[in-house]
Amino acid sequence: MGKLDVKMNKAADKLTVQMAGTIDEDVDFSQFSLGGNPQIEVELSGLKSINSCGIREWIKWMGTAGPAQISFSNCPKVIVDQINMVDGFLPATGKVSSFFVPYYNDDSGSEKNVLFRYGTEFTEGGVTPPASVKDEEGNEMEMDVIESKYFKFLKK
Amino acid sequence: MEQGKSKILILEDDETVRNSLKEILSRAGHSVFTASRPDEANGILAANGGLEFLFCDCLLPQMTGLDFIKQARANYPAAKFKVVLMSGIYTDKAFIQEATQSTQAVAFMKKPFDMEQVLKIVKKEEAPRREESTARKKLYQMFANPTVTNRQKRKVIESIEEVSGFDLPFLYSLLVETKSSGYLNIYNADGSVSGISFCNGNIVGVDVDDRTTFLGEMLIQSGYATPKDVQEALRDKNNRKIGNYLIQNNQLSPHAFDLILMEQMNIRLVRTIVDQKIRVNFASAEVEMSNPSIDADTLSYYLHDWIASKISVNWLKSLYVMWAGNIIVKSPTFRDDHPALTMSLVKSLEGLTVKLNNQVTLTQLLEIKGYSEVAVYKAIHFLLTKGLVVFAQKAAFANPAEQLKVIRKIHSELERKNSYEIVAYMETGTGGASTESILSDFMSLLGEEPSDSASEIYSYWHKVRALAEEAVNASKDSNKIDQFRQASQRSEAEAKLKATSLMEEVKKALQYTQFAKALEILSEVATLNPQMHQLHLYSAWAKLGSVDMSKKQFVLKEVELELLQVPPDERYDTLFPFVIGLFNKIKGDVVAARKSFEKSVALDPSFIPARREISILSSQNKKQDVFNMDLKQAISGFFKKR
Repeated sequence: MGKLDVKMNKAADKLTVQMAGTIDEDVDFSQFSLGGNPQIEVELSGLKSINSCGIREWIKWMGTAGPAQISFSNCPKVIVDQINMVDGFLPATGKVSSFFVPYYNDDSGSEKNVLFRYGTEFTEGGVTPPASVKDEEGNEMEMDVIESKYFKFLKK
Repeated sequence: MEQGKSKILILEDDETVRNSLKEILSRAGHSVFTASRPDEANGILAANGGLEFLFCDCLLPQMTGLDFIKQARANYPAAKFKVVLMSGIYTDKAFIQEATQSTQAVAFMKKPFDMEQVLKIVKKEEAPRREESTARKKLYQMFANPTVTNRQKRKVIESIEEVSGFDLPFLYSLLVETKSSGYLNIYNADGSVSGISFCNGNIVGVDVDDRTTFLGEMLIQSGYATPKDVQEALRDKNNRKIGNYLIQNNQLSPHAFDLILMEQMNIRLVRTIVDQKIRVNFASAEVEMSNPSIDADTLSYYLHDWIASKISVNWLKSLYVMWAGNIIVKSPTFRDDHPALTMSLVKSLEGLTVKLNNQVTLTQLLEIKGYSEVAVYKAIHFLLTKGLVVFAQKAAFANPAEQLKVIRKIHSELERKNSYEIVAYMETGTGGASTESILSDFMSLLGEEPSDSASEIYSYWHKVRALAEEAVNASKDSNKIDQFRQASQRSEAEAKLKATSLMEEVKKALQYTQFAKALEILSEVATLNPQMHQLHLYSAWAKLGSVDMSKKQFVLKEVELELLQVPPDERYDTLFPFVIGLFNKIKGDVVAARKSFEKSVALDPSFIPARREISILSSQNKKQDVFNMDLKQAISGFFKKR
């Protein structure tokens, strides 16, 4: 296995792409064709990092999907950051269906990623975070992002 | 480091509650005022600008708390305090909702309340402002902590909306010194993305848009390969990469090639250090170690070089506005034998490290006779970037004369700027916060308002405040600020254009050896565009060309300073070795001069001034024999393949 593991599964009109690892200069997306699929779901929970070369390759690759409706699920923070920072990272026909939000407890130093799902914790209008997030020891955790920046993509 | 805390007014007639609140808030470091009646509170509001919180009881002796808040907002429209309502009587849901809405209160506390709750409210409400207003300061204070966690680094980088490309050397140093692994992605204003990869405190990859390699030029300049070998490698029909070709033909050692690749990384890093706004994002990740890489020691040299050659002193001046009056202290990692202290910017300030033991401020360093302004700003910036010094608490002005000097200096900076430029100047120095906090942070740099209204210092203090306030007010009018911005951009573009056309005249004058004329035009170019490409190289050429041999040492020192300011990416064309050749010639090192002129011709055979210098040297040395030749040249002459 290389630095990036991509699994593709086609069922009827829907292509499911599961990605894990690192997207960098060594990635070769040409072997993973997105064209000709009206619906694509990209599952990203296993994605660890993406660098600047990876960002450029990603944008080119997404461009090959044509008019397909693309839904991105379980987006980790590294992907949400790119969606917020880079125009075109999220294709025009793309939607985020779920993404992770880091939480933190100041006293114990515990960290946790909480999944925000469309229609439950967020919509286009904004976010409704869970009333309480606790770590394994039961300590109350706080959101560990600057909300105005992290949730900016929802208003795009 | 001084952390600004909130100014809080408590309006509460119950003495026990009032005093308990005061105690807990004061203990947390806030500046607390108390009043038991509305008229007393009015007096405090009138005398103290910048109150950030008003804790107000709903039931007061002269009027209700809600009426008082409405009245206070009407009487002091500039006051931006946040309201926290308190009551032990009015506690039903409907009242709380209506009272909170009508006063725009941020919280309602039912008595008796837990004092911890009070601190939580203040922390929560002040957090976004603090985070924003001190983000840049926090970034530059990261080395004040002996240990910086990945999370702290990420948080501070995240909290900055935009940085300048000139902030990047600091970020690179921070990530290297704290042994980071991951990717720093840089988002440029034109939409392009660059990236730097770090592995355990080493820079292992630099990805920039401009892929110019300079490989051939670097190989020739360094002397690792001959111009002929490089040209052959470039003509190679097998399309092999130049380095591979030379190594396979035993014309270049793999180690030498690694050094060249490292220098290439340096040049690519230099390309990211631009006077433009950028956004950055750092994500920790496991990154593989690769060779060549730049470690902390090598980075020290590069940082020194970048700060000397790339970062403009004007930018540093506005960055250090926020710290001009703070005491510079040695950080936990400072050691007297640190290699960074031997570098030329630091060494040019005699006795600097001793002075740093004596509670000195930047303003005071700038006053020291024999210390050049450029060297002080750059040396301190270098030491701060290396994490060897940090700024401690703000020092009070030693006397009114010192305060006057500082205020006059700031006034002279602001006087020449329009509102847009003034806000940008204040923003660089205070951290890009909201306009209100920019203004209040900026005004704190001027010190207390002088009391004697007839004094010069009073007049300057008010002049600066008027300029700053006017600029901040103008910045709220988007049309006006757009006009200023466009005017600034237009005049900057015009200045750059004019500088470019004057540079052509400079080149012509130098070709015709009209050095005095060239120097005159160059000083105009430096004013119009201090970042002009090859400005320092042409200045050095003009100075060396017109040198009066009786002032040789003085000119050589000046030229040395010029050469220190030549950025790495300007060192790989024909002009740089040519100027080095002139420098060596004036110094009296004819052999080194000839070598440099030959490198210059190798990089561009059509460059006549270098050819001319070679022929002058040849005619002077016609009778030279092997005993007067450079040893390496003589030996290579004996063994040269025919």
